[in-house]
Amino acid sequence: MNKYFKKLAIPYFVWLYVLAIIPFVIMAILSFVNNEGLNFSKAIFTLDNFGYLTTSSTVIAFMNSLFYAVIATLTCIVIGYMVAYAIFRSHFKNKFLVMTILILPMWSNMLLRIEALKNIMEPHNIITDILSKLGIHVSLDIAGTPLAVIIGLISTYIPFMILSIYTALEKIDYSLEEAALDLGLTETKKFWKVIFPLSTKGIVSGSIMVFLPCMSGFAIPEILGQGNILLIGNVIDQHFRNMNYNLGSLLAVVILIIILGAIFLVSKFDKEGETLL
Amino acid sequence: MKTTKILIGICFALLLALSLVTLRQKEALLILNWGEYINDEVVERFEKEYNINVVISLADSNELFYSKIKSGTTAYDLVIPSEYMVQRMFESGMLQHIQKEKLSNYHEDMFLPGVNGFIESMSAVFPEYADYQIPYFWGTFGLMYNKRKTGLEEIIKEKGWEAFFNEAELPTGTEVGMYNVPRFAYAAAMFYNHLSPNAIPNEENIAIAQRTLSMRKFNEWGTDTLKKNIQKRDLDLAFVYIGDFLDMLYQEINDEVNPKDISDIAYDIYIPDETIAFMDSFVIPKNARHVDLAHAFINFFLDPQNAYENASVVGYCTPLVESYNMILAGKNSDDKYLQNWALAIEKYYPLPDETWEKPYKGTPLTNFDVNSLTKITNMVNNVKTR
Repeated sequence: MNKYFKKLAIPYFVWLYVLAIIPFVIMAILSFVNNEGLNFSKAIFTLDNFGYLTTSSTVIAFMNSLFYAVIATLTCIVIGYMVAYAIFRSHFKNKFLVMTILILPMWSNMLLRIEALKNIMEPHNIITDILSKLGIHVSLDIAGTPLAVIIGLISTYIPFMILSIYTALEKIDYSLEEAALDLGLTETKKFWKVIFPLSTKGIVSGSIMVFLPCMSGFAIPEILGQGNILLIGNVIDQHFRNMNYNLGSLLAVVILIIILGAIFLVSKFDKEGETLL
Repeated sequence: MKTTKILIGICFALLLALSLVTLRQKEALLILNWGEYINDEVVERFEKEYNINVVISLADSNELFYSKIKSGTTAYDLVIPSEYMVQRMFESGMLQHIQKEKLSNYHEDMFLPGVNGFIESMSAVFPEYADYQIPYFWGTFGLMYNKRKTGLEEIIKEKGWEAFFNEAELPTGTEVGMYNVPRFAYAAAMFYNHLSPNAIPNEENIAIAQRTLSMRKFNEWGTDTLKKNIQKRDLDLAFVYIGDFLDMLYQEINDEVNPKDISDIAYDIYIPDETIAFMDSFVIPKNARHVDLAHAFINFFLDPQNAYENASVVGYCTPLVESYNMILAGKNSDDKYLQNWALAIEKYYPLPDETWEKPYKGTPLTNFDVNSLTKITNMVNNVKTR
């Protein structure tokens, strides 16, 4: 690459070092000591925190995170692919506008959206009030259940999936499709042999964008799970609230290593580096 | 080389721009407070009188207050922690003592008997308590319940904690919520077993608490959401701050469209004999930059009229005798809201009589170290994931 263009990334790298790498190093150090807050003056080296890694609630919370993230990602892939493909194949003149409408909800604050969603999921809310005035007594009483959390995760992160799949579909050269049809493939076969393989890039990058926040987030399970559903993010949050920065950091570092490991595996199997980036 | 310099220049320019954003233009008194815990109009009056900006930052837990002061990134002039955190801050050498000679409104016997009793009890374990804080608001925890659930009120009043934890005692289908702070849940479990909420979380007590909290499934582990859900009938019973209950009550008796009478409110709170008592107070951190102004601010809120107005927007009770009497005087007023407010305070913050063992209800929490808190948190997580 041209030397000149390389330098353009310097401002971002400065930020990256200040806001990601330095904190990570501090967290890694915090995991191995016992101290108060960020004050290292009385820090003692200890491995006590590692004992908490295997307690049942931490392990269950971790498995919960994994489970919810996998379910949400798979559902996002299916729904997201269908939506992206429908837009890709549609004859709208202004597809950009359609995409904008799709990501419109993201312009409002995520917490507000989740609170609103929770409200609808409770037995008594504005919609049930109006309906009951009309004599209809129905309510969606699912707040506090796993289903509520999964719906929340999907509705929050699905725009990322749609966007990245759509971008991948858009990049497919139309002449490839023509060639496939010329060579005698049916529409269905063309989709599975040509379009789908060429769009896996979008699925993989979309999955990463959905999976990671689902895995590490804590606000959505806290609000929609009504405190009954514990993901690893909630456990980390609690320890930081108790000012146990050591245990909180240890858990955060472990999660980070697992996530980085997963990305490393993906890039290893994909030797051409096509799926990522 | 030139481009490198320009780019590094851009970095510094960005950093500079950011630091400028965080700088404040005018000298300001920095206060760290809980959300919805002060009357902004009274603060504005203070700003005018002393010609200074008051900047209020918010935090939602005592532990957060502690870490914010400890980190020292902002030199707060006043903080309003609860009693156990006052103790912890004092023990870490973070507080300076309150110079009462600077508080012209301060005098002996200005506080309610309950507040004096509370300070006395705290002083027994933490002798410097009285010198390092000035009471701001106080209260207890209680069991807020839905009156519309048939049979619930009777059983809660009769059996208290026994009913709270025993599904069989409650009317069928009673939805119960627990406060989502592990320390409070631990205290509740201890009360059920007639133990002190400050019992050290050793293996035995942790096992007791875990067994108790596992006796029933809680429909919700929440904080501010509990009171709202009881009001809109999505929950029937919950362990909450008395201020949570009063906050909802005030909203309904002060509703602009459809103000209600206190007797029409569809929920109530029962204060068991064994419950958590708390008092939030003004403290001045050691590294405060405006010590005199901080004292002036405290003094301002010790003025009975100001304290009265402040209490009118916060769901808790003023610690001042004079302000308390002003609220009760509202009973004779023509204003319906003042009448209802007076009735509420009289009912939920009664003055002690001879039958009381001590002048206030409940037990203040003492400070637990991080290790104990981690054990309790872990225990509550085990309950949730069982």
